[in-house]
Amino acid sequence: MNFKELRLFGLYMGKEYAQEIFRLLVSYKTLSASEAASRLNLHIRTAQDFLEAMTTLHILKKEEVYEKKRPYYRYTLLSNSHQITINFDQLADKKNPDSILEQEIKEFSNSSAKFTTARNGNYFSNVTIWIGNNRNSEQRKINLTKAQGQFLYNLPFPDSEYMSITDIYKKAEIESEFLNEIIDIVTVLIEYKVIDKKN
Amino acid sequence: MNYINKLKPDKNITGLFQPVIAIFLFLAIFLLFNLTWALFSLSIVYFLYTLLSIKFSTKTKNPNFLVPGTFQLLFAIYLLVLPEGLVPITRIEPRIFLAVAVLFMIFSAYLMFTKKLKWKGREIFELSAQNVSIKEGSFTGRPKPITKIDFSLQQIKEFSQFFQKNLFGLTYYSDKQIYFVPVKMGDEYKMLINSQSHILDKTWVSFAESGEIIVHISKKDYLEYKEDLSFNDLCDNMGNVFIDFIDSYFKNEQIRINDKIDSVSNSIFA
Repeated sequence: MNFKELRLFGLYMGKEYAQEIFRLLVSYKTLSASEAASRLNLHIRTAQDFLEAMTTLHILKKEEVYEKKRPYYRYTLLSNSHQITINFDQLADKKNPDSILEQEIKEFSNSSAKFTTARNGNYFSNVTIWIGNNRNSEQRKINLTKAQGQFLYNLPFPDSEYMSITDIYKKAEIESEFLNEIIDIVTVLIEYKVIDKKN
Repeated sequence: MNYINKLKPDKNITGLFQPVIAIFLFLAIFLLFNLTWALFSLSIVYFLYTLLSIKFSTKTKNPNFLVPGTFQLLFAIYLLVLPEGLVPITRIEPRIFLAVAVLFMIFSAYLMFTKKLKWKGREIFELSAQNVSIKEGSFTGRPKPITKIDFSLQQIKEFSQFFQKNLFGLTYYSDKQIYFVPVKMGDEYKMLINSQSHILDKTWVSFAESGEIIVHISKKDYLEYKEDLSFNDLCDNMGNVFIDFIDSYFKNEQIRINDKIDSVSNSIFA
């Protein structure tokens, strides 16, 4: 199940009538939206939305049937037990990591970002940036991990030559296991125009 | 080599505060009360100046501060023991105190003119700016790691004592790092009361236990330059100035450090 499906699943499973609808599906074998609604004293639209969502998530199947020439759907459990697997790796950046690491960057000129040095080392503990225009701008503070703070400590100045992410993290002597979090903060700071990416 | 001054002219008038405060206080007390109390208040002011001089001397291990300190102390005593003073004396001539005080005052003036009481932070900024071109929009508030050098923290600590004693600036120590803060004339009073936590916003060059040198130039000091210099090059240069100084120090060529300083030095008051 991907994260979008999981969100949908969580949304409907959190409803107070969810358990009762599943109990009916197990007992009745097939169920229509109007039967679920009348049995549980719900609005028919509520029951229908629930059953349609579970069908989308491949927990139920639906079959179109006719009653006095009027079509409607009946819903059946695909299986009496259902296992959910969440793949968190899907959340990682899908771009080719090698191409990201070769991106050349430096600090943006006049970025207005304020970097705070950690008390007990030569790295930054957080960066504060202003988002928005003048009157409507708001301050956003991003706390950094040690690896991120070390990386940004070694970020080339606005008037320096660009350096690749690889070269910067090697200069900062950061272990490669922290690369994903570095790529993440670089992506965010490029978006907020704190880091300038060479085209 | 001819150096081009890149800093704006020094308009700091902190050095005038001492005599101005003294005169103002004397006149105010004299007008409000009488001459005796005015002399007494002036002697208090000079006792306080004595304490400041002693504080500078102990902080920097530079004994030259004791010369103006002695002048200030003797003058304070003279103001007390004058016939019009609070504690007039008759057994010895009060003007002896004045005479000796004047001798120390002349010696202090000599030390000033020979720059032995001059804070040389401004010269460090000038040296750092030599051969740095203009580059607008290059400032950043971040410190810059420069390079690693092959000196131990103990050696850097030894150099720091030389640095302070010769009034290039003040130094601050933590477990694994030493901070060098260049001090300009007029800024020494504020720096004296600053704790270590307050120096991080100022211009500093630090040496870590690992040998890494890091430079931080404050925005206030950056704006003291006449133009927007390339900030990256400025930080690099400042780091190199310190590396050169350390190198000369450990080669027993301290005179070369003073030569470089003198080559960019202008007024004895700036």
